[in-house]
Amino acid sequence: MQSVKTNQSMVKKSQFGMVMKRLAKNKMAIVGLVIVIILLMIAVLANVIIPYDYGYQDTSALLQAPCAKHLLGTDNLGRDILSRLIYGTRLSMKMGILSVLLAAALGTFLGSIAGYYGGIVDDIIMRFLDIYQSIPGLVMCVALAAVLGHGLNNSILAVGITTMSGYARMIRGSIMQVKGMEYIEAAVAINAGDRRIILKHIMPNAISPLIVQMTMGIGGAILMASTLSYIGLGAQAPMPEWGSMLAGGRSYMRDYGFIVIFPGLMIMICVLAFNLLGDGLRDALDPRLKD
Amino acid sequence: MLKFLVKRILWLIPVVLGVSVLIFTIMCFTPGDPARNALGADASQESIDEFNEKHGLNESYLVRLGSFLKSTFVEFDLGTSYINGSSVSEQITSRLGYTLKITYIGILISIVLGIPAGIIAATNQNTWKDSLSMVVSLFCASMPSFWFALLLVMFFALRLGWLPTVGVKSWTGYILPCVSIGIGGAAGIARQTRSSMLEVIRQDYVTTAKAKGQSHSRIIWGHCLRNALIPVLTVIGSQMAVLVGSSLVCETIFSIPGIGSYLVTGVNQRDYPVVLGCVVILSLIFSLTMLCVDLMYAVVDPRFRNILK
Amino acid sequence: MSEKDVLLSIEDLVVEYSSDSEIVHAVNDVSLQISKGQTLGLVGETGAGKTTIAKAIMQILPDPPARITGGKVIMDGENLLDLKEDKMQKIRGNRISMIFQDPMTALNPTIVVGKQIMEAISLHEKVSSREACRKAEEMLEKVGIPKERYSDYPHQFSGGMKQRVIIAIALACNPELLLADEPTTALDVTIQAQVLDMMNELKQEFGTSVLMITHDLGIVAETCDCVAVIYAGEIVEYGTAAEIFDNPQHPYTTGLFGSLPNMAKEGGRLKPIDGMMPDPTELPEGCKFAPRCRFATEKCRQGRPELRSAGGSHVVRCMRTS
Repeated sequence: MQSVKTNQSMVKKSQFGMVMKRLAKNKMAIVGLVIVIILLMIAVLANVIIPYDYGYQDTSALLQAPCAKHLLGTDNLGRDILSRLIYGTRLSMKMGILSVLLAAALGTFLGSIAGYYGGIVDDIIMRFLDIYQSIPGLVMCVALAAVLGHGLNNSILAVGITTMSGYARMIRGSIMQVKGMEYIEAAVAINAGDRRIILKHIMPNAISPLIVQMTMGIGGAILMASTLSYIGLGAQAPMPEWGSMLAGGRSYMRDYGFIVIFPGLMIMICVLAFNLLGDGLRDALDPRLKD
Repeated sequence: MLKFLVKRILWLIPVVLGVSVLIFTIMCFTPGDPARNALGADASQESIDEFNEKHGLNESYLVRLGSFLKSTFVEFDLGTSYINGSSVSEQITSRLGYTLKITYIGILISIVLGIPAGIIAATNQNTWKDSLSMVVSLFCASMPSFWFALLLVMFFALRLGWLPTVGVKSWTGYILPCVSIGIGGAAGIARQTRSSMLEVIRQDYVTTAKAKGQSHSRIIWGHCLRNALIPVLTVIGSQMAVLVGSSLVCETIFSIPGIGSYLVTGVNQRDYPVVLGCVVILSLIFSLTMLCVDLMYAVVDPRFRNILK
Repeated sequence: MSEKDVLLSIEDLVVEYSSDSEIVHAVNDVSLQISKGQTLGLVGETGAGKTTIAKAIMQILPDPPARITGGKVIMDGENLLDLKEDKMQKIRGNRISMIFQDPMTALNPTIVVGKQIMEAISLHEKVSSREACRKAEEMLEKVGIPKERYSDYPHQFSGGMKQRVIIAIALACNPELLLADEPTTALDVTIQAQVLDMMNELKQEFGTSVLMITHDLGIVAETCDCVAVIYAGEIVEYGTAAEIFDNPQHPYTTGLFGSLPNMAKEGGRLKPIDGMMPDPTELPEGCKFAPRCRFATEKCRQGRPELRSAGGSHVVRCMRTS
């Protein structure tokens, strides 16, 4: 038994090494990874690196175009846009990562029940998901945000609950796939408990597609959360969420384009980075899918 | 084929019912006092009681659900707004046209831009054309549609003055909203078209066609495209969901009196009947589109037709 | 054989597949001649380069990674490899056509079979589409499929029927040369015989020359006039079917016969050829078969043997043949 186990972990490790090697070869994925790391560092160090407090109003410099003092200019209240963007990175990262974790947790729970027990339980859950997914994501998210109320945490909840169904389907799919394999039948044959089979045997196989989907999901979640803020449902003023910065700058964009250009650019870079990294991870984990 | 059509249309009924029940339940069980929201924080207890009585909010969940379903699906009445007492059904009927136009022109733009871009990329694999269209679509797929809408307004409406900033008084008013929501879909469709095209080009039957003496371009258009389109249809469906979502923000930005902007107003005022009605209708629009996508499968892929028999 | 009778001759054909890091030498200096009305068998293991030769004649190799780096394919005094793509398109499917190995994937799943046959006809013959359609129906009947099934899709056919459709496509324009790439490998044994019989009949009727690619010596015995045995991208033995079957000279050829079950001899054990085909990215220096050969000597490992005559048209690439 012992030797089998070590053998397995060795296989796992070398697989991990292969994945990393393939990932390192993919230039786009590396670009994505580097941007993600930079964004995470900005998010963590936001307090330290911002030139001004995100709420500080320089009343002598309203709507200032980018200059030496304010690298990306100031908004209509004289707040430094660069500082607000930097602090906004922290908010967006937090929203993106937490809502994806929530969605993955909910989805995994639902999906593994459906996939493992099958039969009528599976039918009910799948029909529920069919109906769930008949509501377009953002519409559902907006409705949820409406009942949950404004605020950053509520929008994390709304985004997480909305995007849960994709994870549920994926987990169910990979469990169904694994379930038919012989070693699961063997585990059932030696009378291993349900929970043990799910956790020890099925989950490890579902984990790599889950990681890919979560990575890609972060981009989508950030996009959705910023849309909520833009409508006025997410993070509230004076929080420098990128979406709400866009909403706030709208009235001034005729003459001060930079107010709306930079926050949107940040959202795009952020989403792009996670998408690139996700694409790269997918190709690295399953080279067959690559063109 | 007919059997499938009937079955597929009948499936819409449980879906719409399910969506209604789901959203109603969510609205019902989340904390918040609609009366206080509608009447303001300093409303008297009397007026609040009166409000709850009028909208039947004192009843139990099941009774309320029952009467909501009955009025929605039997009387086709989506209730009245908490805020201004107007009929939600009437509002939605008058707004439906705008939303349909925006979303369908939007998805059309996605398809018309996305599929050729994907084909060009695939047939010129690893050349500058391929890289260019893939980089552009990567950026477009990552761009928030409302930001793109703002940029379009800034450039084409405010800077150049070619197109109106808001409203849809003439057809020119539709250009910016439709392009802004269509561009993300185009990117997704282009990426899928490219990869499935590359997949199909490698198939044996393409070699067969070549061995017949068929020319390269006729092989691409006559043999590959149709097969490559099958997975693209799936993406068109999923992009439609995104597009309907984007229409909310887009209608707000361009002040288009559609269902999306109605929903956003309703959400901001916590006007539950409005939110409920809009979500049900938008889901219905999306489900009908998915129905069309499923029918398209049958048109494109004869094997699919066989399964249905 | 005289010059006049030769339909197509391949001279010193070299094909390579290149990937990022390595070059696969798939076909090395292969020369072959196919006479009019004759069936030439091309025999060898999987990966010996048989399909690559056929696809090189048609110039339908996937490029990249495959590249024809040397040699000539001459038909009517013209080197096909020098022809422009549009000229070549007029030859493919018209004068030379090909039957593919796997009927399950060789037909387009979204086009009705009749149209796939008609496509070949209308490409090469100046006929109205109605006429092409009628001819396609005729072809279907000829391969034993009722013409009512013209509008059926490939998924509605069995494997054997699909292969018939593919044969119909290949013969639709009455080609001078038919390249049959393992036409029966993917089929049931019972269907195999039917398909081979049909091919033979059609060949008689149209007077088509055939390059029969196979690893099945039974099929060779049944259909071929001449045989070329190919190993690691090289011809190791060539002769008439009688010469090869009665007097196999190359150790590889005798090995192939040794690994065939023989009903007549009772109790004899099958003798598989030991070892594997050499890695085509690093072929051995001397005789390519030397690492697996029982008779290999130092001489074999050093110099590449030439094709030497063994009487008649029979040639062998072996040091032991003098």
